[in-house]
Amino acid sequence: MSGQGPIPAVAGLGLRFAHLGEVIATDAAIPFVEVHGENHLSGPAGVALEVIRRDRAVSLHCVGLSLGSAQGLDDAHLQRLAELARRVEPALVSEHLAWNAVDHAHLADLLPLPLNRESLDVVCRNVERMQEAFGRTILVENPATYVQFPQSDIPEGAFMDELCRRTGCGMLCDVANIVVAAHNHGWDARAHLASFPAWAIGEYHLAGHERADGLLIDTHDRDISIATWELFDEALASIGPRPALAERDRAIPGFAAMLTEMALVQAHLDRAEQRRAA
Amino acid sequence: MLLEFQRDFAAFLLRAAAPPPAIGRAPGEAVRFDVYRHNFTGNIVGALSGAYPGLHRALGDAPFGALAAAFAAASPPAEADLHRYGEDFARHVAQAMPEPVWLADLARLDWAFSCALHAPDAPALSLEALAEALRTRDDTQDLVLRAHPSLRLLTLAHPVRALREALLAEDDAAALDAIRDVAATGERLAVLRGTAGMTALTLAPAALRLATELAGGVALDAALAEEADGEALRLFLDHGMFSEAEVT
Repeated sequence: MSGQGPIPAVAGLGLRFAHLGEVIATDAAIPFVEVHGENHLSGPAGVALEVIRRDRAVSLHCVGLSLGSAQGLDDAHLQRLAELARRVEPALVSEHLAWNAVDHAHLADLLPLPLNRESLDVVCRNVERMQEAFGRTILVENPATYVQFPQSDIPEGAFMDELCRRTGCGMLCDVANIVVAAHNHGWDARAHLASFPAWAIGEYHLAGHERADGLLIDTHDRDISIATWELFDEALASIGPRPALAERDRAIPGFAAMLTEMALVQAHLDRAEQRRAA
Repeated sequence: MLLEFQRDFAAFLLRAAAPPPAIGRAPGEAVRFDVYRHNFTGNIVGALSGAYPGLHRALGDAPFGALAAAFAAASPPAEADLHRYGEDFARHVAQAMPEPVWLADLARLDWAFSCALHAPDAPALSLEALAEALRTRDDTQDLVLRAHPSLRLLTLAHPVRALREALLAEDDAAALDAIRDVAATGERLAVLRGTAGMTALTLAPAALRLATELAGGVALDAALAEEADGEALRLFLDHGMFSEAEVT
């Protein structure tokens, strides 16, 4: 699959159902849109995406393939998403270092994995299968987590590094997820960022989070925190600019506010570029 | 090992009494695992609310959430596409809440709309295209119409269409009026994503029979011989209920 060609290091729009019509109608500069693949498999949202992709690069972000499933990928779901990718030819395809399916039950969340040799082999196998079905490499996103497991004996950064080396996939670095996980587990967020394979990072995500019971919860329902913006700036300085976007999945604001948030992300990218040039 | 871990985790999410899947490292583990249980339940309730907006509005947040969470624990999604999840929820509602009597029909109508909304796209067969197909064939005995993928035909014991419209418009006065009317005779509907967008067409008994036969693959000649209702056929085609005519 040829795809739409690479997306430069610019800010894109996390596109949700409520704004499909506005994206089709607007003249605003939106370098790329990112959609959840599962939301565009059929119906009007599927048709709308095929219209949008004529004018704009598309990043297909999948949430239900369950790359960490010990029982492998759901073949029917994999084929439906791969067929969508054949129609849309996205510039980027991504999924998560997480699981959500076992014994034919789909658990509708990005669930945490113990990180060890067994889970690494499982994820590598599933990523290879997804890449084979899509005919291209994908990016795998680091998740927000709230628990750690005694069965884990590989740090997340090393796990991601070996995953990328073995399968040829890249990494989607979710800066907000680092902030959330670092707070929840008592990690140093900057050191955790530095532990990821910079050479493999192909995209950044940002999002807002909630504080509850002493934990940070990755809610995607509010403005991006100062800590996340600061870590994003650190990533841009130490790793370098990549395509980036802010995610909203609940309490989704109006289209104008979404464009403003996209412009904020672009401003951070621009400032990083200026610093690198200076 | 990983498979057992994932089965334990799933049991924890689905059964309130189940323990967390492993002893964690940090203090306050229960609160941490509860984040996942909360996310799972919230995502399922959100998905079912998207598919059953009229029912959600009729019941209110807390009762709907409790029904949805109980349903999710008993019947978790069998596939990753949550737009296809919840077909049995209407039956669950009917068993869990037999009163008011119209509730299960409201749920069935919601589900028909959800299926129509997320159905694959297909062109609408126009009256002109059908006339052309009839004109260019000597033998039309085997001509069948293929139903639009979004078409759902419903026979409801209680007329809940007006109630659902009032609930979605958050028009409480109209909803109360509609509830007073649900003791009337039932209604027959064709729900589809047609030429006029999302639509619920009220059908006369004969029109429903004709639509059911045609959608079931009965040849046009045979179906019309039984229900010679040209006006109904025109209505079907005007609204895009069929996507093509083909010879079997």
